[in-house]
Amino acid sequence: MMDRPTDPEVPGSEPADDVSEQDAQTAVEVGELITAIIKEIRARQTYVAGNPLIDRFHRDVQDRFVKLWDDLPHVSLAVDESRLTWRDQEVYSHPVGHDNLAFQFFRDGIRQLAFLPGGGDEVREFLQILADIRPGRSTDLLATLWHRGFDFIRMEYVDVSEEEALNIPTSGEGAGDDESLNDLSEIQDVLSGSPVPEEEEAEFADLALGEADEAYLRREMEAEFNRPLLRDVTLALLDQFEMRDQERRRQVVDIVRALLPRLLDQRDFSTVALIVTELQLLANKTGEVDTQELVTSLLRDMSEAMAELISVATDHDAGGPEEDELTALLGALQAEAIPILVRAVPSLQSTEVQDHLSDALDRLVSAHPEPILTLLRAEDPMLAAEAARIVARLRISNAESALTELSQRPESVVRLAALEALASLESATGVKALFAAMGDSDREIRTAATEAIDRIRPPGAAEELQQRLQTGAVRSYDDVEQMNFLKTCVAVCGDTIVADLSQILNGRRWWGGRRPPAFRASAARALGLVGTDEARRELQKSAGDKTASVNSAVRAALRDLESGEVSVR
Amino acid sequence: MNQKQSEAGSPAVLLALYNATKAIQLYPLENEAVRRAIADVEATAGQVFEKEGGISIWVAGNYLFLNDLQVKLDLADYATLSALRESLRTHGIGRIDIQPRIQSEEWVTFLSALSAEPSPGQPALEAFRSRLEQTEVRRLQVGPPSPLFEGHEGAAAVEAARRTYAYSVKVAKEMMSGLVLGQAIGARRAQRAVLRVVDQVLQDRASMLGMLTLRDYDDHSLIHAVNVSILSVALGDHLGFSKGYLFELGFAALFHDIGKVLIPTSVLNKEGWLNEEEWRLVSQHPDFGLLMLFNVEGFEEPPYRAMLTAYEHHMKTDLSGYPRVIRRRRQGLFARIIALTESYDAAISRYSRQFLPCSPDEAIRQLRESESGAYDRVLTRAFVNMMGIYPVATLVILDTGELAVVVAPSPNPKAIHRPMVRIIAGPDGKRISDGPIRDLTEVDPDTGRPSRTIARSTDPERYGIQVSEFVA
Repeated sequence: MMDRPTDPEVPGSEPADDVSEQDAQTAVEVGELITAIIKEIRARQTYVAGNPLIDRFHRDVQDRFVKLWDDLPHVSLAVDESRLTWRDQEVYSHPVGHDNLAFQFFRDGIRQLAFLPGGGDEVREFLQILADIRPGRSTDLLATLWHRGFDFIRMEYVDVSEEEALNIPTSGEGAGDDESLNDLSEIQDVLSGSPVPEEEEAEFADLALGEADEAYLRREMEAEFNRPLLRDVTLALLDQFEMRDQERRRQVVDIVRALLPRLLDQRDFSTVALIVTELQLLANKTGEVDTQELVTSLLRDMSEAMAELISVATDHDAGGPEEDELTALLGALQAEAIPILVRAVPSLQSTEVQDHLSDALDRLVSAHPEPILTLLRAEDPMLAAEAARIVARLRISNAESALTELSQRPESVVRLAALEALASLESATGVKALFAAMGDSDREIRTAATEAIDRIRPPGAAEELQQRLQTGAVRSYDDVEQMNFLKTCVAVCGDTIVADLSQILNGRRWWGGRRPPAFRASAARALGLVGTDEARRELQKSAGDKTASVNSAVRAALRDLESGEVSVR
Repeated sequence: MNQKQSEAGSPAVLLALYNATKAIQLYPLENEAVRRAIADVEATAGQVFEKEGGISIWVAGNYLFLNDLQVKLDLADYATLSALRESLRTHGIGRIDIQPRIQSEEWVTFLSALSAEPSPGQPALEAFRSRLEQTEVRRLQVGPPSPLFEGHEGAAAVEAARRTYAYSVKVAKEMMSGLVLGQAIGARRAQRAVLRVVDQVLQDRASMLGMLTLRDYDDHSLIHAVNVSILSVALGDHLGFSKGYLFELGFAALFHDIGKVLIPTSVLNKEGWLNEEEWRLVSQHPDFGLLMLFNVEGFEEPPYRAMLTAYEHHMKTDLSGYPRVIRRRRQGLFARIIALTESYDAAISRYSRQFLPCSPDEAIRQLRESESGAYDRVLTRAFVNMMGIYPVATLVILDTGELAVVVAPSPNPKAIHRPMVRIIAGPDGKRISDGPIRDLTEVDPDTGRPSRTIARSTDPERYGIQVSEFVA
């Protein structure tokens, strides 16, 4: 510091043709510095923060600054539309455009930049600000740099006002020395009066701020600077909503409509919860239908976004709403949130959160079943299937036809869900779809349909099962499915199925051959489950069967019959 | 704001320098108080030498720099350091470089020169340097303000202030016209206007305060907005706000009455009392302001603080004002500042409903004596301290019979009733063009009493004087 000249030279102060050799050399170095700066800016635009290349370019910039600061009190650049100059020597030039460094400064009014020694960290931040500028930006570079308030980087700017027509006020004409005041009475009064008493001065001295005053002001400043601005604005808006007329309420709601997405984006659930709760309360308090509709329409508009964010944020440990906020937010959701929740709930990690959201979803669907019926026709199979499950869970009526259509969809997950829903509805249409599903190509669906029929025992089920047994479709099932199907037959048809089972176990086909041993064995076990004398008789017909698996199954069924372990009926 | 403190940890050496200057002004050099003050200078300077090897003090606009780093003027030190800065400016000093091993005698000589009046008839810095050259001061050099940091001076400062003022009025008009049509308004130009006001206040507060005397515009609401912005930024600066908060305060002040654009001018400019319906409408302007500012675009965040300020500025500290509030609220500091500054500007301005504007000192007196609950008492005192008992543009009669205009507050925080004045007429009533500027804290060595004291303020119209001629 001490060796530096006390009168730093100002760029532009010397004519260009008087450039000393030393200055010419320095100008070259400044030009190289600008090149290094541009490289660093490009690196910052190209690579993510922390990339070693950025550090490398920055070290280069830093080294060049340090070298220049050894000889100069500061590196000062004059800004032109397309070029930068140092002491009137061009150190950078480029056609005007967004990639012109000089133009970036120029168009926002910056006309001079000076980099003082010791400002290395600030240079880094300064270059990052420049790197963040994008073509077509709306950022005001001057305002950005001004607000940043660099200590070691100084700028001078002109304002566009200097190129504008301004109504510059005038301050009036001064008086000449020869003019006299036209009224001297006051002055004479003062001159003839007594001197100004000193005690008055003491009174003024008392106006000085004491330590307690200063401490008070510091506290007040601290409070203002840390004020929860948005919260206070929200409270003001709510006051306005509460105190004023419908037109004002409409204005407030319009503002809130624009504000809520921002709040949600910032995950300020507390303020959102406050707004939605208070608005609902206030609307109800007015008892006015218009006001209630106004608020409901707001909540409907916001429901999708709220549901989306609540789902994402709540499922993670941090950043989600508190429990009371969550309750308030979920309570404000409208039917528009249903699709979002339907999609989100199954994928939530936390079962607790899942329960909360699921309850909210059930409440919404119970009150507004239409959206869930629409979702039954969603192209997204997961969405349609989940909708079907909700229909089943809540036993939503008027869903049979959509579910029946759903049960025809190619995706097995959808058909299965549709089937379960249909089963739960127990309607004629549903039962018909269930019967059809027993012939589905997907094993899981056939099983589900069979189980559903077993569970609900719809009218006509016995005939349907018997018919299916007689057509022989069951033969293609694997052992387990066959057995399960036969068990259902026994459960639903009772002893009326004995003839069919006996036909499988003991009968012969048209060319004289028997049915496959596994199928026969299943029929034997099923007869055992029927448990009637007739069933026993039919079993005994195959007691000596030579096929081991059949023989074994017959003996086991008979043994079960003897011991009374038959449990199906 | 990222103002940094010197490595030495505090501006202690600057405070010690100021104290020593004052001690030398008041006591003979051999007095114990002077010796102690010089010892304090040596001790605090020694700490800086030890850590940083040298001391370099710069004055740049309203800022002081100690070894490259801006000294944060907090509330406690503000007045003292401002006074030191003014002393340096008086002598044309923009920079002081001090080397280690500087001797006590050198400090005493330098500080004696600093506490003396500048020699007449010679550029101040030149005179100061030649005075030092005749002494043994070798380890301390003074220099002019760096052109890089220096703002405008004198007439150029006033001209810059005028342009800033005119630009702010123009931008305020554009913004208000747009908002009244319900358009979304980009804040870029308003930002620029406020940014300029802040820079101008920081560079030369008095020149901006002088602009309050300009009455060339037809639309009172526009100049009121700009005036309140200037006054508020000045008060914020006095309180030690960072630049960022000064910007927010200036912006909030510029638009504090924006809601009035929705009120018919026939009501706003009505002469005489408002009827119930008219009052109901006028008293809703804070509500309108809150809502309208949502239409301002161009900030990362909507200007929430400006909204709150517009909403709260008539609430009063005890919330007995308007609008009435239901939910718990406390009038914010910005709103309290603007409540004060707008009252001051309203008092000195010519409203249609208020036929006679009062003088600046009368406006200050009214604020001091206002009922409790209307204004923050401590803030009011801070405002009075900043403006002085006789604010800039007050026309005063001195006990010498001279007529003078206040051109700047006193640099001495303990003498707020003794501002800097320009003498504009002698006791004989003869006008003096380009009269001298006098510091009313100057003491007559013969009597030990101040050379001049304000006897009373007076009405410029009585003398056909336009005070703006001297301050704007």
